[in-house]
Amino acid sequence: MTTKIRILGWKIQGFRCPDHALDFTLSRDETFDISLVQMPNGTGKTTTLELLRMTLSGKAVSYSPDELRAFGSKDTSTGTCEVTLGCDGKLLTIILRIDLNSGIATYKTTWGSGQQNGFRPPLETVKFLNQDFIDYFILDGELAQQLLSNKQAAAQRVIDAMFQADTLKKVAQRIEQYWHGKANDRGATTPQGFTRRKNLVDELEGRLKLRRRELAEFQAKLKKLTTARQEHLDTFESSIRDGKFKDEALTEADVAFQRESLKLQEIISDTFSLSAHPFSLSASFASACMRLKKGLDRVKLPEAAAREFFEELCDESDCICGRPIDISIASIIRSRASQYLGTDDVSLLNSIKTAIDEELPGKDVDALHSDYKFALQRLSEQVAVVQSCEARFNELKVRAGESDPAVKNAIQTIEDLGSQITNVQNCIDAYTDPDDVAAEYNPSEIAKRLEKAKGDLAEVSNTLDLKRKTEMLCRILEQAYDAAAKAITAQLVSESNVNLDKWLPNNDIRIDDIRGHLLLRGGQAAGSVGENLSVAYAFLATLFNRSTNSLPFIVDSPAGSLGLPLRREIGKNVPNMSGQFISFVISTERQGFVDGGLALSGKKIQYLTVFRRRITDLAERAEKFSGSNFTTNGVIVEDEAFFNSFELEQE
Amino acid sequence: MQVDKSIIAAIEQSVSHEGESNALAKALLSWIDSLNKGETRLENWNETDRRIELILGVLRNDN
Repeated sequence: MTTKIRILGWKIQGFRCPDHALDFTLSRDETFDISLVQMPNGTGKTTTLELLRMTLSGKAVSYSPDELRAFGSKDTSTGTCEVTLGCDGKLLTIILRIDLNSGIATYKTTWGSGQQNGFRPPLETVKFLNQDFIDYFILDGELAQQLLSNKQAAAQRVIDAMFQADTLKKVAQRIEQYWHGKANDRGATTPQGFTRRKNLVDELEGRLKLRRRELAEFQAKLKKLTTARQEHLDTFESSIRDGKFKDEALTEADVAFQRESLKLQEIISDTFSLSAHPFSLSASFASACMRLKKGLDRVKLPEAAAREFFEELCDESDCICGRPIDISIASIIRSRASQYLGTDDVSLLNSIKTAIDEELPGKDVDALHSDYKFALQRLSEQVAVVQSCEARFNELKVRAGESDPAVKNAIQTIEDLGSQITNVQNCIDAYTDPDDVAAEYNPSEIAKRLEKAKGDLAEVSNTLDLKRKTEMLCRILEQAYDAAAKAITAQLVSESNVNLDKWLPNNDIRIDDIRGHLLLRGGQAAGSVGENLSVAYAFLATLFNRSTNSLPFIVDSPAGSLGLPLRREIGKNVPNMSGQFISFVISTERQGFVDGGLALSGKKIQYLTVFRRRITDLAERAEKFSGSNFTTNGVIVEDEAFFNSFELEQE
Repeated sequence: MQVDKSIIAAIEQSVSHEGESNALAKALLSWIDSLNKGETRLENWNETDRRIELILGVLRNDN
C-alpha cells in the first residue's frame, strides 16, 4: 500500500506575503501535474514557503515568539495558513494560526470525523509530515548543498524516510530492549553465569552422593557394632545365668534384676491403659463431662438441623408465612442461619454425649482417679526396685571381673563396643543434623540445596536460549538493513546518473556512492551551483520515482542558477519526479525552463501569478482576466497568457 | 505491502543465511509492514512484546 499525498490548495492571510488562496485541483480528487506559481521577488515567496513548511510539519510551536512575530505584517494581529491535502483520497486540513502580538503558534487539524486542536496528522502521513522530512518535498534552497555535505547525512535520512529501511534498525533495537527486560527479571545472563551455576549443581550432586555413601557406611557400621555388642552382652548374661563364672551372688542378682524388670514392664502397661481414659487422669474433668452430658440431655438436640432449613428457605420465592422473599430478606436469613446448629454440629454433640454415656454412668469418678494415682505410685516404686537390682548386679559384675579374667574381658569388650557405638552415632548425628545450614553433611539439606541450584540453572539456561534467539533476530535485521541499503543505494546512484547523463552530457559530474551524503566521482567535493542543483534534482527525482509512496514536490526557483540548455532538460524531466510538481518561479526563469522544458513535458500545467495589489498598473491589467482574484493586499491571476507576459523591471 | 522490494529480498536472504524458515521472514515482514503503515507502533510495548514472542515462536529450536 502506498501513501499518496497531494496539496489541494492553501490559503494564507495576515502575514508579510500578500493574502492569497490557491487551488491546485482539476477535480475533487485530481490536481494539476504541474502548478507554476509566479511571484516576483519581494512578494514574500520565502515567507510563503516557510509558512507551508511550518504548517505541514508542526514545527511552528518550537519557534520563539520573536521568530513568529517576524512573519507578521504591520496591520494585522493574527496570521493564518491553511493547507488542504488529499491523503489517499481523503481530505486533511491543517491550520496554523499565529498570534502576532504574543508570538504564539497554534494548530488545528481536520481529518475524518472532525476538527481537533493541535497538529495531528493521520498515522500514515506522520512519517512525511514532520520536521525532518518536510525540507525534502518543500525543497529548501540549501538542500542541494546539504545532500553533498559530508557533515550531514541528509541523503541517508531521506532514503530512510522514503524507503523506511530504518524500521529494520528500530525493530532490532526494540528486540534488544525486550531481551534486556527479560534478562533483568531473570538474573545471570552470561555464559560465565551459566558455568558458575552448572558448577554448583555438579558440586552439590557430588557432595550428595558422597554424604549418602558415608552415611550408609556409618549406619552399616553401627548396625554391626550394635549386633556385636548385643551378642557379647547376651553371651555374658547367659554365662552368668549358667553359673559359668562360679559366682552365685552375681547369678542371683541377675535373676532378681530380670524378674523385677519384667514386673516393671507389667506395671508400665497397666498404667498406660489407665491413662488412656481421660476421666482417670482428672476427677474434675470427669465431673465436668458428666455436667455437660446432663446439660445436653436437657436441651434436647433437634432431630433435623435448623441451619439447613433456613438456608433452603432462602432459595424459595415465598416464606412459609406466605410473604415474598426478595434478595435482601434472603441475605438476612442466610446470615442469621449461621447462628443455628447444623447437621454436623448436632452429630458431634450426639457423639460426645454417647461417649460420656458409655464411660461414666454408674461409676465413681473419684475412685477412677484414685486407681490411676495408685498405679503411678506403684510404677514409681517399681522403677526404684529395678534400679536397685541393676546397681547390685553391676556392682557384683565388677567384683566378679576383678577376680575372674574371663568376666573382665567380656565386660571390657562390651564397653569398647559401646564406646565405638557412641562414636559412630555421633558421626551419624552430624549427617542428620537439621541445623546443617551450610548443607555440608546432611543429605536432606544437600538435596534441598541441589533442587534450588537446578532451578537456577534451568532459568539461566532459558535466559541464554532467549539471548541467542534475540541476538539472531537482531543479526538478521541488521544484515537485512545493510543489504537493503546497499541495493537501494546502488540503484539510486545508477538511476540518478542516467538522469545526469541526459541533463549534463558534457559535464564530468556524477554520483559515485551514498554514505550519509552524496559522494561525487573522483573525490570531487561539489560542482558549480547549477551542477549541484542538477545532482540534487537527479537524486530526488530518482528517489521519489523509486519509492512506493507518492508525494508532492514544491520547489523554489528551480532554474534560477541554470544555463538555458540545462533549464530545458530539467524542465522536461523534473516534473516526472513526483505526481504533483509545484514550482515558485520568477519571470526571468520562464525562458528555457517553462517554455522549452515544462511546456514540452506533456503534463497538465496550471499557470498562477501572485503579486502585491499596490503594483497598480499590473493590478489594473489583471482586472481584464476572468481568472483574477483580488484580496486586500494581493492579486492572484490564473491565466497562461498573463503568466507569460508578466514582467517587472526589477527582475 | 508497504515494504520496498529491496528490503523484502534482503530480509528473505538474511533469514535464509541464518538457516531459518521463510515463516520467519513472513512474520518479520508482516510486522515491518504494519509499522510502516502506522497500524502498530513500537512505542506500544504490550503489542510489541506480543509480536516479538510470536516471532520467537517461529524460530527453529535446533539452532
